Amino acid sequence: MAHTRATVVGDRVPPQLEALAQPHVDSYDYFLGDGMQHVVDDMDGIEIEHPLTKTRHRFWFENPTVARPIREDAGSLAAGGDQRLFPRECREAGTTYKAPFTCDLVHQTEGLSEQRLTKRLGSLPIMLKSKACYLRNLSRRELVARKEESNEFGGTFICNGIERIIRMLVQNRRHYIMALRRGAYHKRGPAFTEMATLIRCVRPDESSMTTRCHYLIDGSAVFAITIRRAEYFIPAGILLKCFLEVTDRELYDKLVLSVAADESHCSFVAERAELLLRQAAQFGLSTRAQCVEYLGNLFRATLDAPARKTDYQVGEQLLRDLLFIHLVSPADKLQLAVQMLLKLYALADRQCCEDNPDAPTHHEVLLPGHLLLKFLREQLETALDAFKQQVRRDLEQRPGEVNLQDEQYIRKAADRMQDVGQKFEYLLNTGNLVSRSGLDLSQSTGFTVVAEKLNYFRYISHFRSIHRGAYFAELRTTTVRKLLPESWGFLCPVHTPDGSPCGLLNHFTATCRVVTHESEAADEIVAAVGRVLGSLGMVPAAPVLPAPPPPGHLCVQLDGRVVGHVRGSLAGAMVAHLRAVKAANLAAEEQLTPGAQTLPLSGDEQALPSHAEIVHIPFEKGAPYPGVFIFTQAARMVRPVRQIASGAAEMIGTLEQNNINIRVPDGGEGGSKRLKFTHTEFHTSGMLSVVASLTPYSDFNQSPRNMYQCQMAKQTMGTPAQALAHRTDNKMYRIQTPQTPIARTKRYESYCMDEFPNGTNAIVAVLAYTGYDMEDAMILNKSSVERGFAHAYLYKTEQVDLREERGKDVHFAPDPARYRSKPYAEREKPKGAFGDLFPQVVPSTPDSRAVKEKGVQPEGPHKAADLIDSDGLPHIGGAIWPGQPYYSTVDKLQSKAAKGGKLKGEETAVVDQVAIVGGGPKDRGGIKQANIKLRFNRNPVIGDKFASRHGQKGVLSRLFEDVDMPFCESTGIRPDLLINPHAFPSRMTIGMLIESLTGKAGAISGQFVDASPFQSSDAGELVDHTQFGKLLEEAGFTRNGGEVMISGVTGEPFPVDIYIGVVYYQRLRHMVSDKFQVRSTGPINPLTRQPIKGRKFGGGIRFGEMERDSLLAHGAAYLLHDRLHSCSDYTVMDVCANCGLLISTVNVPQAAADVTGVRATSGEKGGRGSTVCRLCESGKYVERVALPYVFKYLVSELAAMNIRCSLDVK
Amino acid sequence: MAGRGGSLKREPQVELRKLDDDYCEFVLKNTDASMANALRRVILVEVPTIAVELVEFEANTTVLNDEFIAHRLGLVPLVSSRVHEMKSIYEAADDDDFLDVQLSLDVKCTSDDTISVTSKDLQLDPAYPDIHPVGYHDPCDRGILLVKMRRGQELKLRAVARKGTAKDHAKWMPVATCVFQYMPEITINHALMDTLTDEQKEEWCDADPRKTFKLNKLTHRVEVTNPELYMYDGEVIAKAEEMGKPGLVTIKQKQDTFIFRVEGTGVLRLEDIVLTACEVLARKIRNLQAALEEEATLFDQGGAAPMQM
Repeated sequence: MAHTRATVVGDRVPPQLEALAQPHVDSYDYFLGDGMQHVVDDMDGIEIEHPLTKTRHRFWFENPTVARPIREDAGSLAAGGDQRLFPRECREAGTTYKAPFTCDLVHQTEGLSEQRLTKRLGSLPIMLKSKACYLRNLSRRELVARKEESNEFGGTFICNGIERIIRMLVQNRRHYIMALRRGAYHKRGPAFTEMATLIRCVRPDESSMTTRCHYLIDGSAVFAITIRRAEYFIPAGILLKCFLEVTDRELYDKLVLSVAADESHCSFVAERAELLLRQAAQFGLSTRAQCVEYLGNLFRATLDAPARKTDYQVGEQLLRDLLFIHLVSPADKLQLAVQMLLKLYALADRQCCEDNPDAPTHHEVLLPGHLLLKFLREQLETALDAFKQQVRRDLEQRPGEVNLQDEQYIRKAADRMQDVGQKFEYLLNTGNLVSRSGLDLSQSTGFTVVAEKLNYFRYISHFRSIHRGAYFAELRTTTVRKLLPESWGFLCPVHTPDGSPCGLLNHFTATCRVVTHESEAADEIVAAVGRVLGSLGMVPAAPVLPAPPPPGHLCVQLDGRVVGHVRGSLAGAMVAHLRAVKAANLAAEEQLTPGAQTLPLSGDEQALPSHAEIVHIPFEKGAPYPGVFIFTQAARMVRPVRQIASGAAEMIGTLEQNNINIRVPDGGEGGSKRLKFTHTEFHTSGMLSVVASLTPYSDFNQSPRNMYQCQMAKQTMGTPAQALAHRTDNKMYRIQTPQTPIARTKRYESYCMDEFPNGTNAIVAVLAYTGYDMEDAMILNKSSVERGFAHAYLYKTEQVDLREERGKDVHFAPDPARYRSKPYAEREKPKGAFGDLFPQVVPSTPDSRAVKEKGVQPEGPHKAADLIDSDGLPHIGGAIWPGQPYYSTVDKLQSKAAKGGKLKGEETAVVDQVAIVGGGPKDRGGIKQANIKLRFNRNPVIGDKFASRHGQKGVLSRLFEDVDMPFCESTGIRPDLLINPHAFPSRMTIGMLIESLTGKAGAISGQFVDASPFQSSDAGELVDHTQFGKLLEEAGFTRNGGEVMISGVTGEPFPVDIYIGVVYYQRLRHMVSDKFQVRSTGPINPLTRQPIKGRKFGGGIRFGEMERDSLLAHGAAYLLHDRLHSCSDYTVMDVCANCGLLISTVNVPQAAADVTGVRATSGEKGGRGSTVCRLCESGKYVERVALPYVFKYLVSELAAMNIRCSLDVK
Repeated sequence: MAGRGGSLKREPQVELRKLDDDYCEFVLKNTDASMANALRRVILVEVPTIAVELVEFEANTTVLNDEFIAHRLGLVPLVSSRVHEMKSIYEAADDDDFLDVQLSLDVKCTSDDTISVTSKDLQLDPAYPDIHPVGYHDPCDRGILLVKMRRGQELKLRAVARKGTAKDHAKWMPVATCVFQYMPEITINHALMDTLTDEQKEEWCDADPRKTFKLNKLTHRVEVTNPELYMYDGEVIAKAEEMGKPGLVTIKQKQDTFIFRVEGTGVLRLEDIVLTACEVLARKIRNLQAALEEEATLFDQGGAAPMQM
């Protein structure tokens, strides 16, 4: 049994909480630092030639800088003092937390020195707790002083006062050649097959480009690249010749000699290699220069190349900027192209299997910082373009006046650049990506979501979630949603929602981390790793020589670069050594396994990042393509496992995991006795996400129930935040007396979940009593509820901003025009049935203590003074009834009342808090902006939803009198909650039964109970659970949790023992108060006179076709008539029995009738006039009939189409 | 009940076993479950007590909101020895009726430490100083925590306590719990028992976690130490079956003997609670009797009063 309190100790934000948002914060830090620098370094800049002076000028960006958030509104700028802008101010004022972004615009005239000017490009939104945020490295005490959560871990942006986060998305793994078969490839053209290899190449600035190599029907291949969302194909034979001066013979050897020594496959490749090499000859191209020129000529228009560039230069540019962009040297590019072809041929000849593009092994993560980097690059390019266009226009129109060395002119032209910050804000506010190129991403919307603080579980889940991509959500096939064994340890198998996002929206396991950026000195690392590999037996690659083939040799690729080859027999030892190096480097960084033996390292070895992924795929026919692949770059998912030999921790990646043998506690021999385990899991809970690992005894439950619990935990009314007073969320739920669960998992403690408790320990009896607990209904003890069980509040914040009213000058003030007649003391106050006073505000009178002693303003003379104070804002603590006003405003220009606020809905609210934003009353304009937080009482009522932590949800069906509840004979305990035993057999939530028992034992002995799943597996032996029974027996209960109970109604004992214990119950946010929809009469649609729809507008629920059918089937004619007619558009109308028309009747006033001489129909309508038929010019045939109004509408519509519709009235 | 072996003598008898400030145990004999349950139900929800019912806030700058504090005040147990003098608002007949007790609270935190506002900070009604929270005058009692305050926070309120019963709200419940237990009736089949060895008998006795049974070393017979210890867990019966001797013991619930346990909260003396409960029960019967007599008279006079539905 555990004894710890699950609260945060110390003044530091717990690192395990900070780790939750690690991928977000670290990648954003990279964005702010090196990433941004890479962007400007990699950008080309623009060149402009002055038409008169014929001088050439180059312009480019340098030195991108993001400052810290400052206030930039006029008021605070004038005020001086502290200019710093804090997140909490943005939340309360509904503004964006952003900091100025500047770049140096450098310009150089040919032959002259550089000149630079600093260009402000707007303000970038700042991520909380990033390098640019003031909250970085603050202690908990300091965070509280800044009016933040004491456990704030950052990761969000504040956009117009709302916390939003950038969603992590799944992408193809970078720098790994994937072999695919896709129907879509077949459709590319008549010559295409469904086979292709593809590689996603990424530059250091995270801009990426995917290159594909398609297999054609005739056995040749083409490379495909995408430029501005359009696809271009280059014959492989031409492309191969473009990189280096190589002979056809050399190329042929490179292709054929690197092929596995399989007779048939060799000839297969040889035939096709020949075909490839003939491709170039067909176009009459033989030398490298010819090939490059040929490409340059074709792509000149697409690349928008200037006329002065030769075809050769354009071709070079194409090869440099659009093909294998992660590689610089043409030799490397050629090697990679050859590798792509080899894998393609292996796939075509079924020598290797295809790669699964849906498996996490071939995935990486699109991190928030990386998305922003891609976006930034495009924005800066657009800015330079805009500048270029402006200059070009000026040069065309008035070339004489343009001086491209004049800073004044450049500054002016640079004003044409767009506000980059604004574009970022738009991206974050809407999640929509506006981009010319599409940024090599598969979607253009849904990049950001609101980080809802409904409760803490939901909040942290946002940071751990990773989405497969919007494209897959529409896909009708379900293969992408499958839970694959490859995701073990990285993605939680339990924590995915059911319904439409099932399997697409996954959550990281608690131990999974994401590499957010590559090391700073990437080139040195590559060199060092190359030397280490060389020392371990790798033969460095030579550009022209063919690599020896597998299985004797394996190709070694480092981050998508062919660095050499290694003997197949040496590969195992090489990889093992690299793993030891990795583990040693990890041990130097953090102490995951203190005391483990690690390798002493050389200088070069220390350069190998601890998160490096070392994948060794041995040769096997029909298996994945062999090779040794090393990944050191960013965006990979990694997680720690333990090496069996050394006992040290090692970070492994997804592709790596697939090719090593990791022992799982309880996993036996892994399916094969010959399997040699090299690694072992640290802990069984390593496979679970944070939220999933908080489910107690989840290993005893049927698995879908644990999924439901993950969903329901996120819908629970709990403790959303601690800094409640400084939050402005639209809706926030809070439970009044939360408790810590008695049965809790180890993770509950390590994540300090007591800081945000989520439910109540309830005494739960499992029995069928009275039938009010049928079908997942549950009975609550009325006295328990009266004592505070599951009492809760709903907070709603109204952010009133009066600044934007056009043509008006509005501010908060009491209504000047409407003075009330009597002071409060003389007014009639609402009273209850027995003289009880309803909750209401009693304003201070001038002689009250508060006025005399504390300077409180007495009740003003304005209207509704009991609700609205003399500043136009409501009294704090005041109760407001539906329809009552709670603030009033005045337009200064017209000096009359402007729009005020009236409480909507049917519930009484209490004013919880009023926050005045911006300048106070001393400010010139008066109060212009305020946040009014209203509190609604949401104590349990029938129809509210509750759930245990085992996916067992139920609806409160009745509040039972305490005396009617069954009671325990020995203790007299009446349960808080009754549930029906039928909830268990089909759902098999044994975990709940165990929680009930251990919870009871824990409650009796005053100890918390460890309810972690897989305890026995972790301990390596069966954990003794009989201790709980013993504890119960010692305390005088039966050891099986059952007790003799007596019916509270009759006083007779039940014939069987009743299972009763302590279960932690959550109250879910679905409440009747938000959902009930009742009307008798109400608003109608003016056209049809039928009731409108919509709960918000007081509409009805549609009695539809199928409902009609069921009543017809029952023969319930009267009820049918009631629903469809009486309660709908029942109308009495006049019809002329003579002509049968419904629309020819018209009501003629008495006087008019006399004049026209038309006789009145009957006397019964008295003096109100008479109804006559205009067609028959007589009123004597007019009859009154009851019809649905919509029928009259139909008749009118038909009449408009010249269709006469007459009734046969009898 | 007769079929289940209830006593034919219907003269309930009481045997008081234990009575102190917060615990009372008595045996109710010669009656049946309906009687016992009626008594239990009345004790729980129909014995009137005093509790805070209405709260008027003048100042509340604490972290808890008005409703929350009002709810907590309502749950504070108040010593209700004078409840019989009071009338609930439903019973109020004239202006002189004793309806309300005015308590007040006025605390401001002026220290740098967090202070606790407890039930002991409540100021009593000068007119009724004997209506006070439980443990109010007890120096050892720390009082019931209402709210914690930091420097500068203030709570000033007026609370009106009224008479009521737990039928309306749990705060008027006079007891923590009131429960009755059926007296177990244990019959040992000594003939069968004697077929066991002493070790087996010992083993059988140990099967019961509450040690209801004991082997008398002198007589070599198994005896029942205290039948009330037994809690119907069925362990001994299962043990007997396991030993191949089913029917070693038969355990039944006596249908006419009830052990009552009442745990108090200090609001009322326990004997007063039980007596008041009997009084309430008796009053109900008297009212019923009176109503029946009236009906009967009217009926005799010619059925003037139609049966009310």
